[in-house]
Order: sequence, then structure tokens, then C-alpha cells
Amino acid sequence: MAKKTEDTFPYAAIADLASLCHEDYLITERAKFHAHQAVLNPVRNRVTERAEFQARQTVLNRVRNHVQTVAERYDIPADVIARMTGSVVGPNTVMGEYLFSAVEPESNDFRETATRMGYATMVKATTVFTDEPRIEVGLARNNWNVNQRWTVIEHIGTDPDRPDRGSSGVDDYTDFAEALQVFEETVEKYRQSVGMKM
Amino acid sequence: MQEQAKDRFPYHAVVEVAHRCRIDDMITRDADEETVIDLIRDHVAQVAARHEVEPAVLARVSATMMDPKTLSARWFMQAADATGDDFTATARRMGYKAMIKATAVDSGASRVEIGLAKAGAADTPWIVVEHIDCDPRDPDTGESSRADYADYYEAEAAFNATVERHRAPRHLM
Repeated sequence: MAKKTEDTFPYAAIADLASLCHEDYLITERAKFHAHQAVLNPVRNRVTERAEFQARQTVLNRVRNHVQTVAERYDIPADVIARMTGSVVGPNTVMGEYLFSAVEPESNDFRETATRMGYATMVKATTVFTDEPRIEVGLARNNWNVNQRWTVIEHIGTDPDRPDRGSSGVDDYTDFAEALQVFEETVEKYRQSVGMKM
Repeated sequence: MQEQAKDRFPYHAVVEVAHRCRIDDMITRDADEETVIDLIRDHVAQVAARHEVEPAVLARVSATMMDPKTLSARWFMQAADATGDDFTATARRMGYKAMIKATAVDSGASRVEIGLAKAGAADTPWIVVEHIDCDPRDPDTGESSRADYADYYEAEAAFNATVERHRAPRHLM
């Protein structure tokens, strides 16, 4: 299959989502206000904690709605657009954190896998097999390759603390949709092979 | 005025700059502010040249996507500022947070300020704003107008045309 030469990722969606979140006063100001209140309050009782939790949930729900709106508007997976926008606005900022959290249910292994794999610009990542050899597959944006901006990565038996261990493979793509398809096919291929072994 | 054209702004350039700067160790570690701003300026210049967009515009659009109170947003805005540029003072007077271009023109007896800002609307994300004798301390004075655009390059052309119109000698107008 010949690789595509044009990237169809809707980059304007990132500006749209960032703008929606910035405009939402609650996203940054109220969250910060509650965080400050919690620090200033010397007696952190249940009422304070509950108020903090509720404030966070409110903000998170609003971010979730914005992510959904933009994902539908541009026909792009919600987790991908949230993570791409989060990485642009700043993963360590309040809004960046909300954007990453908005698409991460408790059972999702994205963050752990992305951190283990060591890519800061990962938009999809999953651990297919947790026993040895551990199998991890990721889809990241590659900003140093001007022509092929998306990378599908496979790690088999690798360990971030032991760089000499395991094997890895990367494949670069120009088009996001093509890279996403390869990522999904790779995950499925490993899931099937793991299923056959078990 | 509502334009229906597609926005041709190279948003992928924003992603490229943001990711390059973040991945670069100096941004996140203990480099001094001047070094970091120079580094951002370098990244912005390289990416802007490739995508044929003005470096200052790319830096400011990138900054609008970040939390405005973060150091990153401030550094990107500083990386866009040129010596003698009246952008910062004019943008502040005009009162738009996401201003990308702004300039003041002394048009005879009037003070005219023209700005190009990023707006929140999905269909028309760019606006060109014109302030004539406006005073941020006295909102009742002066006149203002704005036009919305879907495409950055149409908005930029309108911004340039407005600046030129006010710069033209009065007897030619």
C-alpha cells in the first residue's frame, strides 16, 4: 500500500478546542480559586474536600463537552484531539491537565503506557500484553520529520529503566488517518497473537 | 461581514512549534529567560519560513492557545516582539486578549488603532477591529467597528488595507 502524501489531520480543531476552553471562565480561574482556597484553609474538612471535588468535576464535565463538540465537528477521535490540544496548551498547566483527564476513564492505560514508552507527543498508546514480554503500541506526533509527522511505535519487552532490553520498531506516516489505521491494526494483530498463545 | 471561505492558516505549524519548544530541554529546565526566548524565536523562525507565515504571527497564534498566565505564553509573546514595534501597547489599549497584529496610526486629528485578533467562533475565527479615538479608560468615547473572517489570509488582507487607508494622505482620501 503506497503511503499517502498529505496529512488530513484537522489542525484547526486544536485552535477551536483551545479557544472554547480558554473562553470558559471555569476552566482556569475557578479551578485555581478552589485550589488556592484548599491551600489557604488550615482545617481541611470534608466540606472543603467535597467542594473541591465538585468544582473539579464541573470543570471536567465542561471540558469533556467541549472535546466532544469539537471531535464531532471535525470528525476526529475525542481522545486524540484532547491530547493534541493538551500537548499544545501545555501538559503541565491546569487546562492541559483537564484536557488529558477528560478523555481518560479510570481503566484507561494511556498515560502509564505513554510514559513508559517515553514519547511526549503521544496521542494513543496501549499495553496489549502486560506479562513478559510486555507489548506496547503507540501513535505519536513526530515534529522533527517535516514530511512524515506521525509515528507508530511498537515496543516488545522493553524497559524504560533498561534501555538495552527488548526490541522496538517505528514507522513514519504523512497522514494521520493512515497512521491511526496502522496503529489500530497493530494493536489488533498483537491482541490476536496474545489470544492465540493463551 | 461573514466570509464563508475555508481558513487557510497553517495550524499544524503551531503544533510543530509548541511541540519543538516543549521537547527542547532548555524550555523546561533551568535556562535563563533570555536563552529560552531566543530558542523559541529560532524554532518559530524555522517553522514560519517553511509554512510561509510571519514569525510574529505564528508566535502570537501559538501564545493564544496556551494558558495566558503561563510563562510559556509570555515567552511566545516576547519572542514575537520586535524593537520599536507598537504591537503590545496598541493591543493592550484595544483590549483584545488574543490579538495577533495591532498598530496605531495618527490620521490627522484622530488616533486610529487597527487590530487583527483570533476570535472564539468556529466558523469565523478571525476578526479585524478598527478603533477611532477610543479610550480604554472612557468606553463612551470614540467609534469602533469589527469584521469577521473565516480565513486568516483574508483577514490579514483586510487588516493591511485598513492600515493603508488610514495611512494615506488625507487629501487623497
